[in-house]
Amino acid sequence: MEGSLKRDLKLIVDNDGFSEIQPHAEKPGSKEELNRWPICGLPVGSFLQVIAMDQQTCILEVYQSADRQGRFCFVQGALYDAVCNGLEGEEAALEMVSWENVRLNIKQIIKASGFVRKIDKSLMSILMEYSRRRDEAEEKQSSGEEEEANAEDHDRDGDKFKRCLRIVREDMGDALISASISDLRNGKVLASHHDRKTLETAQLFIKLTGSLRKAFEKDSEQKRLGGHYILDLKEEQTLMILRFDEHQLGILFNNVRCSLGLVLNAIVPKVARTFDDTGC
Amino acid sequence: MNIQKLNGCLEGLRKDLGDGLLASSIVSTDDGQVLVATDRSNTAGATLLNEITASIREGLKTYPVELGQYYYIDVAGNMGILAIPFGDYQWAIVVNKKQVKLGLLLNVVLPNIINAFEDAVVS
Repeated sequence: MEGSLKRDLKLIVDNDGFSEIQPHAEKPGSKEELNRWPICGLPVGSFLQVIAMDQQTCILEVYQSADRQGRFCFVQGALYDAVCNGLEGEEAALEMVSWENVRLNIKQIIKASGFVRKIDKSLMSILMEYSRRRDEAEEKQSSGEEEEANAEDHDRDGDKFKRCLRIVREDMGDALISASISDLRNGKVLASHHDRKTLETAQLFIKLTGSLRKAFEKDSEQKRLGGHYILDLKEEQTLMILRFDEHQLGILFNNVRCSLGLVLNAIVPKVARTFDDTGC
Repeated sequence: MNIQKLNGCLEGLRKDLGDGLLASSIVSTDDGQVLVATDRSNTAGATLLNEITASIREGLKTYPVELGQYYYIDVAGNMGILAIPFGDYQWAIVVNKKQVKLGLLLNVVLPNIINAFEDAVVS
């Protein structure tokens, strides 16, 4: 078994012969020599496992590019040391295990008694540590991308909400008492028409919708709140709530200065289009 | 309260809305009892609407502002509900919103029936 593995290894790499070198001692050969080294499509980590399993005592030279090259030192299958691009020991090993499509060269070591072991961890521990770091990095990257996407969505939505409120403000003029857009999932006010009572009314809008939804839950016919509701209020005021999925636009206005008919037929369709245009 | 006039309110509504009227009832807000109703009216629904009115009034207190003559709730599907609370009574009207346009309901039908309802209650 051991013999056949060695033979297989010799098929994969161009064994350069026996050597007594230390892992730090020698730089990889000339460009012509490097080009003769066979290319390994596997990640370096996988190749290291073969060497460890085969209990080899050798220097494994790894070359990917002029600024990505290094070597591993194995003594009877144990990873003793590694160097690459100014890194040494465990950090160098962790750096190189992920490399793929590298050129490899094995130099057998005859006398390994003088080697100082600089990597205490087993090869398996190194590979597991590498996997952990890679997962961590991927997670960080994906959460970064998610945050970025959320921020973009947030910006886009924020812009859309502002445009909706601008329509309401411009079309209703001084009839508008208060307007705000809220997220019903968390009760947050996302945008509002600036008015000293806006926050109070925004909270009122959210509270009313919450009460209505709760009341409908009791309905034996399982009716559900639809897209809007309108409350006629005293002192010539009308409150209108327009729902867009989990968002709602609440408008409080003076119904003498701006009739409900005008709001329903001219303003609401424009606002609804603005919401729908950007896919809310 | 004039029961004959209350029945007259429902009759007038039927004429105004035709097939667009799904159900209607007038309830006492104190105990939710139905005073008069159309054939297809749902007693539980009318009582529920009574509760909704109470919760709206409660919610508005925080602003503070008071409920006026009516409120309209769009219901998912084909239904729309118009509620007219007046004194100790409330008139609930359920319409098929595909057949009854909101503008017609609020601008034409509503002003007439509010007057008739108020007249029936105070008589």
